[in-house]
Amino acid sequence: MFADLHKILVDSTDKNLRGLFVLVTDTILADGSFVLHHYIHSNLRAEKKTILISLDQTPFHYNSVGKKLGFNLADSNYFSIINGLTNNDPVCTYIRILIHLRSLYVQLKEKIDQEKGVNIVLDNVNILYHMYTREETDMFIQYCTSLIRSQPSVRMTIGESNEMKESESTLVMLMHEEEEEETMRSIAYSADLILSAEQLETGYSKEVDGQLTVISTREPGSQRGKSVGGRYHYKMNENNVQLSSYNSG
Amino acid sequence: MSRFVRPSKNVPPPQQLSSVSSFRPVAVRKPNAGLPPGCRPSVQNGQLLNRHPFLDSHSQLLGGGLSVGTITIVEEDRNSSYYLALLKYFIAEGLAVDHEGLVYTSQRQFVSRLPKNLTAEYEKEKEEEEKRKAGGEINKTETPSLTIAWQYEKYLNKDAGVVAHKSGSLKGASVKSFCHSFDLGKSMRDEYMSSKKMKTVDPCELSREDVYQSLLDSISSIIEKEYSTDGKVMKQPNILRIGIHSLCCPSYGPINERSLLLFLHRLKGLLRHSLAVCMITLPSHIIGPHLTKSVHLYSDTLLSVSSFESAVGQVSSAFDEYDGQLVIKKLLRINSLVAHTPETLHYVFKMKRRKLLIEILTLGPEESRSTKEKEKEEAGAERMAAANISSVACAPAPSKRKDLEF
Repeated sequence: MFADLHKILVDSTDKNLRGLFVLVTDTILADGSFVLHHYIHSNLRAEKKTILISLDQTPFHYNSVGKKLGFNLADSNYFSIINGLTNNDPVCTYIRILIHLRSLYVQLKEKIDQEKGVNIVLDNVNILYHMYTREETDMFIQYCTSLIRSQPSVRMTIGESNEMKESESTLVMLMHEEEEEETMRSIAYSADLILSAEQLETGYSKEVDGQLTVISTREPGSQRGKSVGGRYHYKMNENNVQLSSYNSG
Repeated sequence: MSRFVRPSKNVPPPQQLSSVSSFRPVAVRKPNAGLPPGCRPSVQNGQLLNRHPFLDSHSQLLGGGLSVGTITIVEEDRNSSYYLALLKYFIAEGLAVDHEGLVYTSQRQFVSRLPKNLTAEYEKEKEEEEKRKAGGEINKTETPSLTIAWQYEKYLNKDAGVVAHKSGSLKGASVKSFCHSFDLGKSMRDEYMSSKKMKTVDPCELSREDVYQSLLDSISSIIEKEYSTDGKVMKQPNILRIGIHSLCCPSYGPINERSLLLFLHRLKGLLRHSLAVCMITLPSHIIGPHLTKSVHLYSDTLLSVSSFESAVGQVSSAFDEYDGQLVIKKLLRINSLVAHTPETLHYVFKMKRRKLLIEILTLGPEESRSTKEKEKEEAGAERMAAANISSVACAPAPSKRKDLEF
């Protein structure tokens, strides 16, 4: 979707992994949700089933951003949303979600059963920590991780090239930095790829939105791409995200 | 498909393509036809913007106003009540444009101390003056003054009718102005307040069992009655302005973290599907840093007010003329990847003639500041020296007194 980001993500992703767990962290001023939009749209364009658990924004928000990116989420057969913010929706499962976190997992499992190569996006995990106990939420994350690791991969065309590739299931999770450090560390420990959006060290700037640090936690000797991560400046536009090397200014 | 219905605006169904293909004269529509009073759509995200007299006085600050369906949290300062002026302005502006106000506050005088609407007073006086003038004109037209060119009298009456019609339409437009100015020193008149829809609730009146749940129930009952946009077509849409003064203050009882955060989450969901806008002031210094950070997560726009009075000695002398600082901590990001990006996030404000003025925080060049400070120090030293001289002139020098003691 976003060409710059796509290249970085492909380069820093381990090709041998069975299921990919991506953790996106951000701060109150440096918004990292563009990574979620990237995963949603790039997977939908590749006709991969995508489930969005939306706790922070309305479905209208995602559709509105999607339209600006040239994709109508409402028309896609591969996209489904679990709305955890508003309770007016007939399709919504708001009440059921808030009774017990297990019901959310059961619903998720029902949706992706029999599917190959699914993409689960969670926006954002902090709200789960606020609504439920820490043990319960940790357990949910572990279950989701094992769910995507157990899903069989699918062969599909990815990106611009027409080459067929093995595509793994992904779990993308957004987390704001306000959560306790221990919690963050424990989630980061199980993540395969960590993307953290932060404010610029030099303070607020109108021209640059923040800095994005990409950390790939891979086994040594694994089949790796060209880079092991890095740090970039990013600037969001209406329909694109520009990334530039940290040192190039 | 119903999942993607626009939550906070009544949008007419899109025209079919077939109707576009034929050439038809397009009816001229008023730019804000069908919108609630005192609102205009945002260019960036299509949300309806509500004016805030203080925050909008600097056009860069929030990009045109507070969006419908969002929560704005204002962090309170420890030893001042400038934050309260922000809340008062927010409610008073709503009343000026005939919005409904709903305020949760333990201050009983809150409503009676809302700032006086100067624009409304001015408009009222002007209207009365125009009426008086119009009355005079009618009397004049009754006695035709054309004695020489008497044949043109028939044209004169027609023109007068056209002019009267035009002035009437213009007058109608000027009666409701979009911008209002307020006087913080004076309070609203009772007769003005009586014509407005305004409700005040004391948090002590809410159920003690789960205070945040009953607060939510009280808000949702009002929203669902009149302001919810779920599949309804409103004949006369209006905006509800909700103000919550000092959330988590002792009037709300002991803080239950989970209950508070659940309240904010559900309030956010509720507002997204309604024609309501909410401003909450938060005494962050009494609820601790961890919970404050969690609360920040549920805000759409986050502002922090701090006065210089509470930090005597820690503020540079360059800010002597200002009363406090306003910092934007979170920018609204809705229906778009991009947020409104102001030039800076730091502003200063000062009270001037019963009005709060806002300016961008700027520091002069380092040299000029240091020289100014030096000058001040020198001036202070000179004054001290002069005082010493006078003391010497009036009383024996302290050194001599020492000599005497020993």
